Amino acid sequence: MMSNAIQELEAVPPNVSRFHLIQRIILGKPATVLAALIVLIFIIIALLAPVLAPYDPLAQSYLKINLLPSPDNWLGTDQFGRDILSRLIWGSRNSLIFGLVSPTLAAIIGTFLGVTAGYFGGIVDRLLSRVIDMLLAFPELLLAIMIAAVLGGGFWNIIAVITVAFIPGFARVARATTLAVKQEPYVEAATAVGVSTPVIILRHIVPNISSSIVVLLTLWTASAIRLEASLSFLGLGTQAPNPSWGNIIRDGLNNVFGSPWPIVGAGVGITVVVLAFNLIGDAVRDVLDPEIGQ
Amino acid sequence: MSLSRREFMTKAGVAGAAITIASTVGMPEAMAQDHVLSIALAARAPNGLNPAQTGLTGGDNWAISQIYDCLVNSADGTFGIKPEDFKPEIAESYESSPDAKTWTYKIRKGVKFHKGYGEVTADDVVFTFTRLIDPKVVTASKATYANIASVEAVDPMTVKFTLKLPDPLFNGSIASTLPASILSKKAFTEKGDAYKFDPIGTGPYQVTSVDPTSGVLLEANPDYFGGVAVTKHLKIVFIADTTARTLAFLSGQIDMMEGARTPGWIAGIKQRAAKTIFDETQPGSFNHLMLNLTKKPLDDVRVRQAIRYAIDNSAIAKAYGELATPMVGMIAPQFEGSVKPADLPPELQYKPDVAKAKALLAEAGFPNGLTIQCFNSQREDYAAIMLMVQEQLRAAGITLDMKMIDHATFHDQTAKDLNTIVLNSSSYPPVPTFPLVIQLASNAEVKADGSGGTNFSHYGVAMKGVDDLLTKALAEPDFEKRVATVQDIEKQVLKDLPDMGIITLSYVVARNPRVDLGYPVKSGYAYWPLHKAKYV
Repeated sequence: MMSNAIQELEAVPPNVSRFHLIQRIILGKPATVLAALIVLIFIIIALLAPVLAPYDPLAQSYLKINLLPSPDNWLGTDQFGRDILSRLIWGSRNSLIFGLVSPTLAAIIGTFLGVTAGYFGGIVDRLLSRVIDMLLAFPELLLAIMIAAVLGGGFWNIIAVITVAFIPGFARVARATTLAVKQEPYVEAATAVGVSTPVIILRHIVPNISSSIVVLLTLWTASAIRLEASLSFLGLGTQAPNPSWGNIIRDGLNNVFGSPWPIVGAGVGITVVVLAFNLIGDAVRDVLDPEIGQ
Repeated sequence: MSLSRREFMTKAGVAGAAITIASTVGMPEAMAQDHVLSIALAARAPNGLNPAQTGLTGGDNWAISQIYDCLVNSADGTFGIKPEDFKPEIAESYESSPDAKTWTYKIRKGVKFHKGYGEVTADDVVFTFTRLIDPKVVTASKATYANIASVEAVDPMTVKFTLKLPDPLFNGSIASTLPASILSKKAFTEKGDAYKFDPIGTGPYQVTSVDPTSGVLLEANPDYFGGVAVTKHLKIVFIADTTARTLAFLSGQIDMMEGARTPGWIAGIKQRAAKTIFDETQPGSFNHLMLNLTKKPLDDVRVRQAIRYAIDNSAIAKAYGELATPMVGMIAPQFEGSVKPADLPPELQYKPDVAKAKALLAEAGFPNGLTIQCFNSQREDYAAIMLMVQEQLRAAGITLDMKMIDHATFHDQTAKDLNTIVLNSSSYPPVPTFPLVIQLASNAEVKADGSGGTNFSHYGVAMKGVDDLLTKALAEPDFEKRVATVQDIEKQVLKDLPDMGIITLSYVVARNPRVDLGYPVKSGYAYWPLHKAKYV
């Protein structure tokens, strides 16, 4: 028994380098390798949209309405003669921006609230927790629709909407893990030797709860992409004529008998990218949070 | 025979299921046998079948126009453009005084109301019009009927209208409009609120049933004075979603459907059902762009001219193909009162010119272009036209920061003077003064509390408008002279550019080739008679 335990300890070295960690996450399973590849391609497409898109995504031409896919327009054109492929490529930018920016902001704010509540406890905890509970009572999409309906569409409003929708989730996890970490002897020791509260939080609490937050962050990147698409589909997200996968589907729905390609293209885009981010999220969780994984 | 509770439930369940299946799966066959002619409109449910009520949808109008008659009407599938273009309907003849201020109608003998409500008399006509002009009764388009000073029965079969201002086109502006469909006084007073869904008219069809889900079911009126309808049953279905409506049409479940007014829609249908017939009204709706003169920088005429030069009406019309025609001024080019580019001085022709637009902007102090915020309706025709306008303005350096909001909210917010560049789609009859009175008169100015009219540009208030010329036109009893004044107004508006015509857009109905309408649709309102239609 004893030797077994030692072997296990040796198998998991206490200080895994970051490179090794990423390597383990990505190369863990073939599906994850594929997912990572897709995400990489997606990021490249989004970043290089101005170079990759064959046409201006907004340029209309009444001479080229609802064309079928051809060597000139790989996915054909929509009811305004706009190149569908170019619109999808530019649309991926929106998905990437919303997918990364909103959950990151939500993670920062949510973690701050959660750690504050968990560490200080008492009235602070009760107040913050009730607010978080209240927000959690609404499904993310419903919360996002309510906020978007009040604020209206537009880039920063949508960032704000998705961020607010995700804050309670992060805060809840941060609070729970903080409560657990707070009981650890090293925190008690730090308190005993007189380390200041901000330092304890930043040095001891945050690093030790970060793995759960990172897991949540990767999983919710996919959700944010989905949420942005849903809001844009409902007309509350990215505003025309700027393309986003959600409003491309919305526009396409009115013109499904003219050209099905906007819906097919954006639909496949959303499905593949969301799936890829979810697979990576699962892999990250398996590595960082082995207890859940097993 | 006795049935246990369980047996009863089982049998009732099976019967219920059978009915459900029959009413869904078996519908096309059943229709084909009974020849129920069906048309699907883009609305959610019937709002009512009282022609004078407010809030009617296009779908309701279709039903109402089959159930009622007016005093006179345009010939099937056309619009009466000149005073002599109208055919008698409930009236058998009419005459106007030389000053066009008194109009007298002789009522046709023997016109019967549906379901035994008796014959039409002057009483019913007076009742109908008194409601329309009584400020205490809520009815549709009150302003349209405000020109009637009085309506009286000269004898049981003669009605006389006295007008405040002369109207040489009274038949077009009032007597043939849908809210002026003749009601049965007896039925209306007797039924009260129930009349809305149990209406009594004189038209070729009478109501069998009204249901939010299955729509309005009509049956031929056996006593119709114009001859019994060719097809006995008519069904008016409400399917708001364009895709669902199109699928129902392509599968043959419905015979006719209201089309989508997006570029490429007709071509898309033709690809799937090449023989489909498209009935289109020319001109259809007038699509204007109104610029809010109280919002900077639209108060600067150079900016408005830049916008006019940047927009290529013909290109937008071409995107719609046969459905659209480019507009020159306020009035559709097909109608009297409109101006032709050839009759205009070169500076009012506004041939699309991006360089000129940029130069005008620079002159106005915007050498690097400018951004204007506005909002627009998500409705397909509004969205499509404004997306094209937005793209054309972009080429001239004008960024339209446009929010797309739902149609009802768009109307609500625009009516509260919150918009800057307003696309307005309205269907006008060929009465030259109508669009001018409704969109340019200072007394129709939009108000922040929502109580104003549809002059969203504040023309005539924010700057001198055309009120004087409009008063002159409205006081003119001679039709030709009236038209000349209207053309002067057109030219003044082209100088000031508070409001610019973009395109006319046809109302289009796709028809299965198995149905013959009995006449060609050329013009008219966004509904037309179906009593001559038959399966071929």
